[in-house]
Amino acid sequence: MGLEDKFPEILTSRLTDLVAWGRKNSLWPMPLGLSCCAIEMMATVGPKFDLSRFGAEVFRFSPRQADVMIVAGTLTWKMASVARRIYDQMPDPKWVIAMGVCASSGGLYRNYSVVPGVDRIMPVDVYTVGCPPRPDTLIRAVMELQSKIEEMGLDGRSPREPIVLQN
Amino acid sequence: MSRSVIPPSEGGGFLPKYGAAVATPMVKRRQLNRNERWFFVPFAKALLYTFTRMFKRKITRQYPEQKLEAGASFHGLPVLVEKDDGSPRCVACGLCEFVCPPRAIDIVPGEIDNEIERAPKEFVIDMLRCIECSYCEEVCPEEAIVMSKDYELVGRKREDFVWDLPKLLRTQESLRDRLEFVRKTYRRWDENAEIAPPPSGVFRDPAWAGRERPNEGH
Ligand code: SF4
Ligand code: SF4
Ligand code: SF4
Repeated sequence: MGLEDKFPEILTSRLTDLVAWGRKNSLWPMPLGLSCCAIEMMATVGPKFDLSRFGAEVFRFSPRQADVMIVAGTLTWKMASVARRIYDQMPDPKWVIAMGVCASSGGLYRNYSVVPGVDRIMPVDVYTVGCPPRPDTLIRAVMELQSKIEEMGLDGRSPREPIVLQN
Repeated sequence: MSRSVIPPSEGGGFLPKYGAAVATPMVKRRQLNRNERWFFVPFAKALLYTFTRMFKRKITRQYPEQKLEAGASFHGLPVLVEKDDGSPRCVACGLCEFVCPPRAIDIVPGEIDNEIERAPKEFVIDMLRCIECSYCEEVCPEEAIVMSKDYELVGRKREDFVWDLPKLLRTQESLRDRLEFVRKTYRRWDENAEIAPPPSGVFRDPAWAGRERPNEGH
């Protein structure tokens, strides 16, 4: 019972859904390639894996033009303040993919100089395993992020409240 | 002056003041012909190249539908092999825990009632730490921990990546080719009966041998 019943030729949607659909299919990543994982990130945009099939091939090296940061590599404490600054410069709504075990948890580097997971300095949306992850894994992370964005509200951060229809 | 120096008018611009330490440009800039200077012809050529690619062989792997056909030598996430009765082969010796470079493994040993006497009470691998190096597999005396073919694990919470025994245990049947590969690679158990592959061929997957393109399209 709704507008579709009266005018079947009109496609109706919630504004939230429409915005989420637009957002998730036009992710512009900010590649924070810090070490070896960045090579696999480059392979992901290459012709063999082709991230553009998911609408996320427009890598912007300017944080002001990006909305998802792919942290690919080992984040050291010396670099941490810079990474946080780049994150702060990205316009909202923004998301973070921690690519590889170094970015996700520190990985191999259990020492004083490496940040044990970039979630120490910024909120991470999707973690990935692998050292380095295959491009497939990064694509899966992007897909996971897309499904997360779908569940987000208009602000792109808080989970959407389910609408209970009452007759 | 013994070495030939490109004069400043051709883009050289510096003289060998310090003798051998000065790098001389070895490659001179090529003179462009008229078509190249005119820009549109090379541009059209490039577009034509892109266009004709549409009718050539497709090399993009359609990932979620078309997955990697991993061979036996593939390093995925480490898993535990279970015995026929469903209990782990592992005897909780702790070697893998010790050798693991990022210290991803955590074992709590326990006692059991048969002649083996030891089994892990808890066996935890933090997949967000694991670098898939296969050291644990190499060091394990029981062939109890091997690399699986899972590699595309992603998640939103770090807790999801900490795998415990029920998540880690796999049947021998599902890991058959990797177990065979491990046995051949490290030449365990059956030294005489096994036809050990030559050292150079050890890490090459036998299924791929002799084929030009092992997996079409990737
Ligand atoms: S996860 Fe492995 S490949 Fe990636 S940056 Fe760390 S060490 Fe390099
Ligand atoms: S594969 Fe390497 S990093 Fe992973 S659990 Fe085994 S020894 Fe540790
Ligand atoms: S090395 Fe093998 S037997 Fe020993 S604790 Fe690790 S998995 Fe178990």
